[in-house]
Amino acid sequence: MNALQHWLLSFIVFAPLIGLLILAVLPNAKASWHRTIGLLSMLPSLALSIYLYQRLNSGADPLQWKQQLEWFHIGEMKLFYHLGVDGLSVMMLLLTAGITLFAGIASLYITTKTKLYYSLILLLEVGVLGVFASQNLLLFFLFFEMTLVTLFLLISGWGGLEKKKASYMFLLYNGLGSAFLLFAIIGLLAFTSTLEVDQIKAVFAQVDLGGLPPEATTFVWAIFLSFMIAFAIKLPVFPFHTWMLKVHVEAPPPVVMVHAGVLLKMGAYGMIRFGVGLFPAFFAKIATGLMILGLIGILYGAVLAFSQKELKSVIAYSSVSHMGILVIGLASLTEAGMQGAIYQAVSHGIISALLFFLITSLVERTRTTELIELGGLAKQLPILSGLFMVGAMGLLGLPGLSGFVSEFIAFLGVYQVNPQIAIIGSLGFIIAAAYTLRALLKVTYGQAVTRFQHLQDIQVREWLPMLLLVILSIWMGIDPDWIGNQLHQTIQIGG
Amino acid sequence: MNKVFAQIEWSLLTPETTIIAGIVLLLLMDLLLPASISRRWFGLIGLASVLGSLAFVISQLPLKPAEILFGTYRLDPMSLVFKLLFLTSTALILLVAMDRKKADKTDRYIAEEYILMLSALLGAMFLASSVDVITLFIGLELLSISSYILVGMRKHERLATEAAWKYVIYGGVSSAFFLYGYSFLYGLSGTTNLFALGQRLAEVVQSTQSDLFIVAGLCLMLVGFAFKISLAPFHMWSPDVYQGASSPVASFLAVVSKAAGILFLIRFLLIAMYPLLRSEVWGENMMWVLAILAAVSMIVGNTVALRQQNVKRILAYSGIAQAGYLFIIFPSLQSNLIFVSVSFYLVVYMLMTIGAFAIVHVVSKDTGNDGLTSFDGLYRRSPALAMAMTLFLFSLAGIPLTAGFIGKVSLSINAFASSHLWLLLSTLFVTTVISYYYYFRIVQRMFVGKATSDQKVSVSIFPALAILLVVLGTIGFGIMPDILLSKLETVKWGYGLIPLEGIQQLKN
Repeated sequence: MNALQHWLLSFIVFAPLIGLLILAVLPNAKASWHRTIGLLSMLPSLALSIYLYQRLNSGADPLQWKQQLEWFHIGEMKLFYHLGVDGLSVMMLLLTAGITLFAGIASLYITTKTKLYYSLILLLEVGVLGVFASQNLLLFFLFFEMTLVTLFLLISGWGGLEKKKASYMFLLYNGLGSAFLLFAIIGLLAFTSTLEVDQIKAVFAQVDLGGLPPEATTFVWAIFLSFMIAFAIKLPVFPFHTWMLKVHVEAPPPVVMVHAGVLLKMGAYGMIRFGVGLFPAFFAKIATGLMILGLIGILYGAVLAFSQKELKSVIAYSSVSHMGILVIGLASLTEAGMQGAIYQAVSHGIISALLFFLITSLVERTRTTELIELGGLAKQLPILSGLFMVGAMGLLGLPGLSGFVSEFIAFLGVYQVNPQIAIIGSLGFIIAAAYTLRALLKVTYGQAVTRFQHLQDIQVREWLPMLLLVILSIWMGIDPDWIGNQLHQTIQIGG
Repeated sequence: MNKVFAQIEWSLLTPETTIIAGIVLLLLMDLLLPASISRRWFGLIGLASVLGSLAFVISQLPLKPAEILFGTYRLDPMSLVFKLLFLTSTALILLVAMDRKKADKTDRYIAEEYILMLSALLGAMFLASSVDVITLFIGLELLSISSYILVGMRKHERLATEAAWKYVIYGGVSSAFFLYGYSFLYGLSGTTNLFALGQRLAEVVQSTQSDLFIVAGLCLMLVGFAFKISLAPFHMWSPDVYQGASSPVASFLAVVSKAAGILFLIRFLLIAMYPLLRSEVWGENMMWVLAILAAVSMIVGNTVALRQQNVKRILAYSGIAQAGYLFIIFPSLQSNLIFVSVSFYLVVYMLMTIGAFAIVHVVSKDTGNDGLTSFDGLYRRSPALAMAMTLFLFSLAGIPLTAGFIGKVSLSINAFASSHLWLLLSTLFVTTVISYYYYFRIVQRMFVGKATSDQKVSVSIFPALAILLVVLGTIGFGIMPDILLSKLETVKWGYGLIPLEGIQQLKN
């Protein structure tokens, strides 16, 4: 049992690689085999993360299921392979394993180079799972980069018309983020001689950061700001969001499910773990500035979402807006705000996965996502339109769905520290309702387009997983304690 | 005279003698065998002598530092590590070079190609074992002159002839700079031995009367070095030369030649120039010069590569950038770590560069050109080759799980000891991001681009073996870098920088 416990987390992270190995020996032409193997090899991670989630002991040491092995050393500095989870990590692992599986299911319309496609999706999953389970910064970076490389190949291989531009934009923005991250990590290594997250915390707890000589203070500030910039690009925080719009629109929709669903959350996770977690005093100093950026993001994203002519762009801008809510919740540094931010991460993950799943099915039938060419789909595609309506309601924050809970709690936290920002930010709700309903009406209601008359509605294999996502969203909207229970500890430590 | 001759411990020279034996054997066989017999298998003889030499070098372990020939030839840990590096890379390159087109136009000079590669290697090995400016220079020239001819080997091709010509001119000019610079130092010190040079120059630096001459001499010599290791702004020759030369030769220049230059520079700066670099008046300025050279190289290499359409030129510019990364250690002369980092990075650089050039060699042999387009859809044609190339490119770009990443991390840690930390690190990280663009462009072409044909790319056994070995190294040192790092840490690098008597005193 003990050894099993020891290796469980590693197994969760690397289980998708089993599928990768099997895929490697399969012939190129058997697309359905690739799909089956791809999906099957996502299951162990999901099942085991659910198990982990239930078994996580909220009383004991916050970091559990640890595994620490010496990896290598440079001079005196030792680097470890160190995995471990707390409430927040487990939550993210679960979200990742779940969303990736849904994305895998949604990939049914991918027909070219399926072997490579599923291999890359599996690698992407390993990368994201690893990011959330790493307790060593170098290991964290390693997994972080793994997601970058695989996503680049996924966009450039299976993306839309402007896939080339989108993939390079993604690569260069995120590469820059990684460069900041690596600078911060190596800076920490030089400063504290370790990259173990808990040891760095211990070092910082002993050192009085205010009493350092001025050069050292500048240095620590530089490390902290590099961390923040790296994660701000990933999240993305306004004004670093342009790459994300391109990816939303150009990447294949199943990949966007993973991207919007979990990859963006790596930014939020990083800010909580390494921004608030390691440098609470510094974070407090920039919190107001961050809140203002978040606020700009909320309003800017919402207003622009309203004026988009294309469905994917609407959702892309709405993501900017929703990530803005996450940021102000986080930057409020209150328990409620923090909790709201994490809820928002999960809720947005579920809802955007649902929406992009719907878009996958929609594009497959209509071959377009231009709002002007769509219309009246409720008649031909009742199930799809119905589900789309639920997704849209989630997006605009209808009470009863997950979006409402998370945004409500986040704003509650912001209100405690900065009512002005909370009040202005609430305007975002109104605009959100406007842009969501506008898009929804254009797609499903109105005059039916004649060339869509023979469309077939979505089948069980499509609507069943979508329905599952809807149920998840409703469940979280009605009973948010479901995820809240495991988070208290993280929030208290972080905040 | 005979007595002196007999006292010299010639056995120390066995690795070099083995190479010489290989050269002589090849020369004689080429002369004596009738023309009708194919010379294609001559590579095996070359390989055998390299491997034999490698075995002799390993047999010199555990090492007892020693000197012969009046201090001009010495054996210390530093020279041993670099010899291992030179020999391994040449062995791998020979494996790749043995894969030739049928009825290649250069078949007539096939023996010469191997002979020259061995003699270039010999030059590098002598250079590794020397702390005297004369022998260092002779080693460097033997290496360079052999390389000039190697580059011009494909004389039926216009580009190759042009490249050889350029290389000779640039190389000659750089040697001239080097010697001119050294002439100042000789005038001040009257010695060619690096240790004696260091001592005399220390006195000169302290008296601060003619230290300007030292600075002038060092700057001129730096220009010479910068040519040899293709540091910007003295890099112009390298893209043309790499493009004109055959891929194995290009990788030889990129790896062996560059590593030899770095070694020469390490010994020269850290033995002879140490007083100057540590002096109050000039130290800081010289560090600036070194830091700027490193930064400019990273910037020029990585930005100019963006617009190249030929894979070998891209690799050449990438090599310029890599030289810049390696150069980070010089403005950060602090601890033993710089040697560990630089040697680790050189090993890694050897693996990924030889690997990338080997694949270029195989692919361009198949498609007939080495433009970017020849990599289109390689994944469809030969998944294994495409994967291997991706690995090398990722390693060059410094993506984790490859050896290049660990190398870059360990190099950049050194920068924290430098007073130019911000300049070096910000350039390193920003240019790394820029470099993603051109490395990933090739990757994208291989996986997404449309292949012109569906035929498999044929790879014969020798290059396949070389690629396999290099792939294993790149992944192995990327996942378990401790295998190599811990070995390199136990090497007593300092012995390479002090006279033999000093080592003996230290031991006692």
